[in-house]
Amino acid sequence: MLDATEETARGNIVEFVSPILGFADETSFALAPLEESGTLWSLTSTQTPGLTFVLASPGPFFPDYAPAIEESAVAGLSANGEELALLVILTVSGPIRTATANLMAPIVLAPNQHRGLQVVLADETLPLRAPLDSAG
Amino acid sequence: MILTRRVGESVVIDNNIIVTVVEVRGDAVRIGIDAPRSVDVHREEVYRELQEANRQAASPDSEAIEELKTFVAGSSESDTDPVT
Repeated sequence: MLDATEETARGNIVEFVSPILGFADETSFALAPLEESGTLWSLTSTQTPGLTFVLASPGPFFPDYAPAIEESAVAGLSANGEELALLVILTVSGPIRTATANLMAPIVLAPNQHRGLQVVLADETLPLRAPLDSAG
Repeated sequence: MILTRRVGESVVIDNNIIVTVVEVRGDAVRIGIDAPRSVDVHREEVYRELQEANRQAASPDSEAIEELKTFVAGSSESDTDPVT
């Protein structure tokens, strides 16, 4: 059996096949749970110390959020039919009532391939800053 | 660089990106873009907004993260006990 720490360190690295917009040089992130329910995740650059995004599984906050993702948009993940995971980027720079989620451009991951990208969805009505607080 | 093109005419960029003027109606121009999958194409204002949103989201302070965790824990509790 592999050492648990080693497994975690290797297993949760995600290679970004196209960059998080505004962070063109960041291609490698470590994905780690922030709590036990599997709702909140941290995505931390392995290249730039201190660069972290907080991601969330959208389900608990936005139960109706199930965006159509064009196959061509995620072709870079080479997922080969593998089920993709979708997480939204949270902005939490103040009191919780001001926290928002980016529903327009979620992070899509191919967990087994350890690949990810930020997809800009074609549906322009999806909000870039959806309040978390009103969602629950 | 500025070029003049008519409807139906194109511009080729770097061998494999073709930009075509599809339709002109008043001050609106419809543009078709044929590019490899590896080339990201965005409306400029959307692209800038997304960059800005990502920068704002980057590296929240630990206090905000703790508050978020409490919020998530609280929401799942209230599912089981709506009175509180």
